[in-house]
Amino acid sequence: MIETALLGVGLHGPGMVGWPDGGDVLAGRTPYDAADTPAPRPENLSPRERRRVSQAVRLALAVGQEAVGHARVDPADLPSVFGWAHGDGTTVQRILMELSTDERHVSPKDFHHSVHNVAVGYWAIATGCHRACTSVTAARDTFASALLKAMAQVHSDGDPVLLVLCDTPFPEPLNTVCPVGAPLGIGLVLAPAGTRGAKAGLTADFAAGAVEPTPPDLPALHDLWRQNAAARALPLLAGLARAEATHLTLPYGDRAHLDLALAPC
Amino acid sequence: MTPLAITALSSVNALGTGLAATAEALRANRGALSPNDYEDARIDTHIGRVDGVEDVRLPPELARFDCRNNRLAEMAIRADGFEAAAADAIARYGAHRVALILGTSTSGVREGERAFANRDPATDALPADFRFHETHDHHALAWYVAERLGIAGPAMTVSTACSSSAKVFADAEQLIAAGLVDAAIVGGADSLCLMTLYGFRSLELLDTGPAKPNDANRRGISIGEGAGLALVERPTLAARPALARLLGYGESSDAHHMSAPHPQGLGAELSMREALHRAGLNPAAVDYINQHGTGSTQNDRSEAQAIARIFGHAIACSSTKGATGHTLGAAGIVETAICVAALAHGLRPGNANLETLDPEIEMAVQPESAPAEIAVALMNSFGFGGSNCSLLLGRGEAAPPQPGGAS
Repeated sequence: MIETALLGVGLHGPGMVGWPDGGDVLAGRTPYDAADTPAPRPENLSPRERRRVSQAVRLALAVGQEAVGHARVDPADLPSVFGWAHGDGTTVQRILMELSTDERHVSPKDFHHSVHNVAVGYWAIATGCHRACTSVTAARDTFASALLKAMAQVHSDGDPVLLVLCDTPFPEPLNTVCPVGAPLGIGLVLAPAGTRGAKAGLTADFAAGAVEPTPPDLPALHDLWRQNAAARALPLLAGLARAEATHLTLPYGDRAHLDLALAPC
Repeated sequence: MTPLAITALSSVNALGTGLAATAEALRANRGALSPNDYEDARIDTHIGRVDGVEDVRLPPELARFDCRNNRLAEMAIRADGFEAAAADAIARYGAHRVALILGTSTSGVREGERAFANRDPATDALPADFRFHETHDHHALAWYVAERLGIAGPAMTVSTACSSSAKVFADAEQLIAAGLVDAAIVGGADSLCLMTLYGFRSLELLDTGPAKPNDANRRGISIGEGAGLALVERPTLAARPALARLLGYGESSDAHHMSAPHPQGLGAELSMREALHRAGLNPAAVDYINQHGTGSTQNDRSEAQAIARIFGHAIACSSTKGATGHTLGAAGIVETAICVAALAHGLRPGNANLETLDPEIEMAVQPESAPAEIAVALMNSFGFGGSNCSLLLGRGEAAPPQPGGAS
């Protein structure tokens, strides 16, 4: 079993813009309205960089920024774990389209933006962070894998760690083979258990046995939850928003799961 | 940190399949780069192509994972007795007490390239037999290997470009130290594809001839492919002697540019210093550094500055990418295997294709391999996004694998 504190949250998804308002939606205190979703706007990128990067990178940076602000920690000091189920399919598709032509003129910008760690790379540039930054995936189980990695890193180094989840839909035809639904970004700042200012305590255990994933309470979020891997984290955020002790089992592979327990402070 | 035992290790790269083949090729100063003949990529460059990938067959029940990248992983499973070692570890610890953490940059994107080339001209629909999740997707590699070896522990893919399969050792150490698992299988695979060949060409980073890292007349990289797997365990629990030990790791970010290294190697310096700190070692304890050394002038020089600031100018260094090619996301595990071969065989790997050392590379770099007592080796892997990782490796007590030995 592993235990950490949860210091801060960032959230941006359909009908859930920012943690205070999005938390109210998840807790059922405010009606859900997916139509009311402005584009994420990270403030720590220069206008030029903001234009250069993809929607997915803007989303990841915006929720990361909200989470570190909520946690009152300096992002430059923070190792980070970015979990991204399928990477930036929009950029990869542009390259694949170009490679299917006779000319094969791959754009240099597309190529270096196609790497899975593009979001965390821009995060480090935007925040001046020289700490360990990584970009991981376990496909639909990305939340479980990135969370366990981030918690183990907190345990190992004793420093807070930023966890960012971010998945955005792909254009057709990639969308047909890998539907992601709608864009959803979530940022969590984790820290050693007992850290002052914690919003909640979080424990996790990796255990044998298959489990079914837990859907969010709001039926309107079920489509998103089925398609967007980051949405596996929504039931945990709902527990935090309600300030309710929450126990969840989170599938991790076909034969194991995470036992998660959230204890709001 | 408490050192971890590396009790099994497999290596696949253009020099050969199996650790002994790599060690033999290094000892004989044999390079493996050849003129590009990859599919219909019309690019004047050299590549490090692994022989025999086309003939590999995955087990029939896992045929849905078939792609070049997973075939390289299959070769790594079969090499160096790795499959049996993994089975032993799973039997001893339990399938859910062994983690699987693999690095890749492009996974099986070649299948995506094929699917897009064959899409319906009217509707853009991709062919019905395109298996996105099992081949093209980043996690396809770890998914395949987990199914193939019967691992039920935490499985994760690290994709941080060319540092991917070095950073997996850090993840393994953290999961083991937290008591979440008892052992981890780490490594990675990256395979030749059009995306990286044309992508690096677009960045004007490809040499036309074989890459000459550290050379005054270098002109860029040669892309290679490769794979490898390592079993890491707590030494107190391991049932077999260690081939080598992971003494420390360091990770850092340049926070400078997406595709260019920090000009003075700031991130490289931070990751090497952190590795030394975790290992509790002074720079003087390091006998050999396997550089990231891609063959791009910016990369080689910035790394060299960082090395010189920590280790001075007498440290023995080499880049082995002139022999294997730059295996991108597999570079970490391929070059970890080279360091383990160096430790086990008492061999300082040469810097293939070096003719005239760049005067700005002020370290002891020799073109040819030579016998040497190496107790501690440092391996660097740096990637796009300014992602840096350094591993410190120490000798184990197991006899080194011999050419033609049991595999």
